[in-house]
Amino acid sequence: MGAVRRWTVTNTVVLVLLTLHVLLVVFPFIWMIYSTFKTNKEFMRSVWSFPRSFSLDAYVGAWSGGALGGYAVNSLLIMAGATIITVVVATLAGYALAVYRPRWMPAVELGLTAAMAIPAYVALVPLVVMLRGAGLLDTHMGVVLPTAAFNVPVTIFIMQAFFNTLPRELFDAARMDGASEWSIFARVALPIARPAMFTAAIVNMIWVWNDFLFPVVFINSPARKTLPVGLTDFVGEHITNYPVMLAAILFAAIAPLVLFIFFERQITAALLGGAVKE
Amino acid sequence: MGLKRLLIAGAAVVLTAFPAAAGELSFWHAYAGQQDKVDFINFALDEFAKAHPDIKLDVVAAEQSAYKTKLNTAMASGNPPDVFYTLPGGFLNAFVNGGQMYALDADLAKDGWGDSFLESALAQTSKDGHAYAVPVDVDSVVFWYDKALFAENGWTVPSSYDELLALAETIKGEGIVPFALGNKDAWPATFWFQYLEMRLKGSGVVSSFVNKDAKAALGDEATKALEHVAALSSKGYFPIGFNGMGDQEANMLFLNGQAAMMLNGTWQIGASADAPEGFELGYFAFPTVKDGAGDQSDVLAGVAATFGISQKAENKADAVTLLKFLTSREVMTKYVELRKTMVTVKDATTEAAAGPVLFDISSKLMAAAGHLDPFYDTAMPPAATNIYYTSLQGVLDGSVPPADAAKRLEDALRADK
Repeated sequence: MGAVRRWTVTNTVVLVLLTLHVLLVVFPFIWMIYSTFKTNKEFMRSVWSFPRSFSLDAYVGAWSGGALGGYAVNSLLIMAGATIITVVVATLAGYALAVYRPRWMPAVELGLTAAMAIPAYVALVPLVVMLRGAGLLDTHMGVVLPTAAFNVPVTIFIMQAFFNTLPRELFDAARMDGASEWSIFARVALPIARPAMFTAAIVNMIWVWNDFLFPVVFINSPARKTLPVGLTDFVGEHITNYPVMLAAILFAAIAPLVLFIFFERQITAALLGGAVKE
Repeated sequence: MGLKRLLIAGAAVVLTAFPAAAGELSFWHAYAGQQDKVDFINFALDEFAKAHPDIKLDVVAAEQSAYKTKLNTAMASGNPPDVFYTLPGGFLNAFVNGGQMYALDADLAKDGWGDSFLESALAQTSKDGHAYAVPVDVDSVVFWYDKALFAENGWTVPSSYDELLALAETIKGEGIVPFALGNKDAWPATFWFQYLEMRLKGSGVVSSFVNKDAKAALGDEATKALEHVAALSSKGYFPIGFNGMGDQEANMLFLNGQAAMMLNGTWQIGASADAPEGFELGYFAFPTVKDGAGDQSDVLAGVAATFGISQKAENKADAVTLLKFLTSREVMTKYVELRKTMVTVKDATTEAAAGPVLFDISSKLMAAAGHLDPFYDTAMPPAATNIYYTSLQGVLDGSVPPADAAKRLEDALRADK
C-alpha cells in the first residue's frame, strides 16, 4: 500500500497500444452494426461511411425473408443435443482415464488421437449411408450424433487434463471413508469438475453452432436447416445485399453472445482454477 | 440449475426424430441464396404444380457451393435425387463416367425437344454423342465499361488488342485502374488467358483434350497468351493486390469508377443493378489480336447450369416431364426476365425479357460468333482445373514463367485418361 502509483512512460505506451488493439478488434463489429442501417446502394457507394438515414429495412428483410427464427431453434436444438452427449461422455471417459490410469490407456489415447485426425469430409459418404440405414437422414438427431462423435475425442482430452490436475489424495481419502467408486465420482469429482465441464460445453457449443458441413449435407428440409446453412441464403453468388446479410449475421450472433455473457463467470473460474493449481 | 433442465428438455426434443417425407419425385436444385434465383424456381415450381397436379415433388434446395458438396455426397453414397441441377463439364462428366446419369437421347428426339436447344449448348452437356443433361442458361464473357466515364474522358472502345493496351496506358495515366480484377478465387483471370488463346490459336482447345483428341495441344500460343497476361500484370493494369482481392471487391472498384473496364461474364448486368447513379453499363467484344490464327469473332460462352436425371430414378417418364416443363420456352423466357441471363432454348431470350444490353449480346455478338467456346476451368477435369488456377495466379504475380505454366497445364490436361 505504501508504494505510490506513478504514471510512467511505459504505462502510457501500454495504454496506447491496448487502446489501438481494442479499436482494431471492436471496429469490425461496430462497422457491422452501423452498416445494417444503410441501403445496399449506399453500401456499394461507400463501404465505410456512416448511414445517411436511419433505415431498419435490412432487419425487416433479414427477419421476414429468411425464416431466421426457425433456423435458430434448429441450431439451438442441435447444439444442446450434441453438447450434452459430448460433455457427458467426455467427463466420464476423462475421469476414468485420469483417475484409474488403466494399463491399456496409451492405446485408448492413440485411438482417440487417430480419430481426431479423420477429416469430416472423408467420413461424409459412409455417414450418409449409415444415417439413411438408421432412418436418421434429414433429422436433427442425424446431425447431433455424428457431430458429438467428432467432438468427443478432443473433449475427452480437455476433461482428462483437468482431472489430472486434481490431487490423488482427494480420492484416496474418500475411498478410506468407505465411499463407493460411483459416489467418489458423483460427490467428489463432479462438483469440482463443474467449471471444466462448462468450459468444455462452451467450446462444444461454439463448434456445433458454427458447424456448416454436417447440417448442409445431412439436412434436406428447409424447416430443419440450421442458422449457418440458412444464412447462406443471404449470400448471393454474384450479387449481395450486404446490409441485409449483416443484419442476419447480427441476429445469428445474438445467441452465442448471450451464452457467453451467461457463462462468462464459469469460464473465468475455470481458467483461474487451472492457473492457481499446481 | 434451471438452465440444465432447459438443456435436458432440449435434448429430449432432439431425440424425437422427425422422419423425412418421401415425395414421389425428388428434385434437387441450387436456386437458393439469391433473390432472382428463388423467384425463378418459385415461379417454375408453382406453374408445374398447376400443370401437373398428379406429379408430387420432393424439393431440396441449397446454395450453390454447399449444393455441390451435398450433391456429390448423395451421388457417391448411392442415394441420388431423381432429377437434379448440375454443372456441366467436369462436374457432370464425373457422374456420367460413374454410369449415374440417364441418357436423354431418345426423349430429346421426340416432339422436337432436342431441336428447341441451341446445338452448341447441347454439345456442352453431351459426352461421346449422348446427351446426359439439358442445358439451362449460358453466360458469355465480354468487356464491360461505364459509358458515362468513357464519354467524360473522351475514350473510345478499342477494336484491336493493341488499341486496348494503348487505352489501358491512357487510363492508367489518369490515375484510374484500367481493368478491375479480383482474382482470389482464381476464375476471374482465366477469361483473359482463354480469350487470348482463342484469338491466337482458336476455339475448342480444351474441349479437344476432354474428348481425347489425339491432336489436342495448347501450342506455343498458350505461352504467348500467358506472356500477354503477365505483361498486363507487370504494367500495373490490374488493381494492387488483385490476387488476394475478391471478385466482389473488384466489382465495387468498377462500379465506383475507380476501375474503367472489367472482363467478366454476363452476370455483370445483374451485379451492376445497384450501381451508383450516373453509371451506364456498356459492353464490347474481346478485341481482335493481330496475326491470331483463331476465328476473331469467337465468343467465350459456356453453359452455366444443367438439369439431369439419375439412372436410378424409378419414374423416368415423370422426370422427363419435369425437365421438359422446366426447359419450355415460357419458363425459360421467365428465367431470362428474372435472372437477366441468356438461356439455351431458342427464341426464349426475347428483348422484352432480356433488356437492351443482354439482348444486344445475344442477338448480335452471340449470333455472329463463329464458335462458342465453353469455360476452360469447368470443362477440364477438377485436378487439371486446380493446376490451371495456380499456374495462372503464379504467372500473374510473376512467380511462374509463362512457358512453365503452359507446360504444366498441358501436362495436366494430358494426364487425364
